[in-house]
Amino acid sequence: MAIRTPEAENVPDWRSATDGFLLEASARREQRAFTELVSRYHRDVFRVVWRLSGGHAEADDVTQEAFMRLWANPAQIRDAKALKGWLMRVAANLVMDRFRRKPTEELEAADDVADTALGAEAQLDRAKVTKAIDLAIASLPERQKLALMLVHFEQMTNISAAASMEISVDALESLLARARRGLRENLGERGKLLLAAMETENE
Amino acid sequence: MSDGENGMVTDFELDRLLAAASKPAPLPGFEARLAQRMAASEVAPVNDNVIAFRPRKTVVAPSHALRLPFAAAMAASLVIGLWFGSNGQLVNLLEQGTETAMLDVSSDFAPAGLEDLGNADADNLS
Repeated sequence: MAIRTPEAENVPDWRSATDGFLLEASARREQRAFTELVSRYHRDVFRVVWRLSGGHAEADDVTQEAFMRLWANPAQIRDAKALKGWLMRVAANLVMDRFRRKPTEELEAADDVADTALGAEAQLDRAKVTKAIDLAIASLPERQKLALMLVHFEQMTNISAAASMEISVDALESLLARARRGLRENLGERGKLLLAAMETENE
Repeated sequence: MSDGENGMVTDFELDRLLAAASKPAPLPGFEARLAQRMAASEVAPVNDNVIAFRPRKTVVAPSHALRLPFAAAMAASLVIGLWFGSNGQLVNLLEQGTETAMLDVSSDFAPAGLEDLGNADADNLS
């Protein structure tokens, strides 16, 4: 039989705690609660940072910075449901501040690979298709890219994504429509080739 | 003409392509790296040119029992001071050269004479 001490009974079960409870505990400088919040959301934040920065090597550092902002004042999140959106907004702002004048080195380095690959359908493999899609996304304007990230990749609702970007739902939908149109135009006829290559590989 | 007909991918096909986009993940140990950074930020190094503030020692006021002896000592000191001053004995206690030295110092602060004013005007005109 397990020995249960009074101290052990008083320790909250952080893993099953709600975001609101964890935020309150974090505001009391409870590091274990904050660590649980980090483990819940750091992958989502990293994906957005990575995508917005064009796969920059400092994506990990920017993700950390976003959580440092949260740790500095967890009480600023008044509605726990808005936490993910808040993190995404802070991360996006950090990316735009840090990489505004820096080219997206890593994905641009992959540009040659994608272009040469598109000429020979037979040589296209999944990795090259992925790079081509990543490049097309990276070429979008920042706001369109963020809207696409939040709704398409992070599965946020239009309302949540609009709140995160601090814009109206109509404005978000407009950004999404322009992003999709921009992607189709950017891919052009290469899109069909990429699809064909994917189907060939699946067979 | 639809997108599919002019060579561009359709919405459905675009969704399939987007599904092939990379799915980046942070390197293992993210929480540990963040915890290390948090710890470093909370124990920020103090600059060498900053002098640590030390709180002043609290001055203990005389307790109620000591007030009467304290007041008596202060009153006696006042009376002795007045007695020395009125009899002229305080001057006798000082050294002989003290008065002369004070007079020398006071002469340095004497107001400028008319001669000085004249010289100043001459300097300005030249």
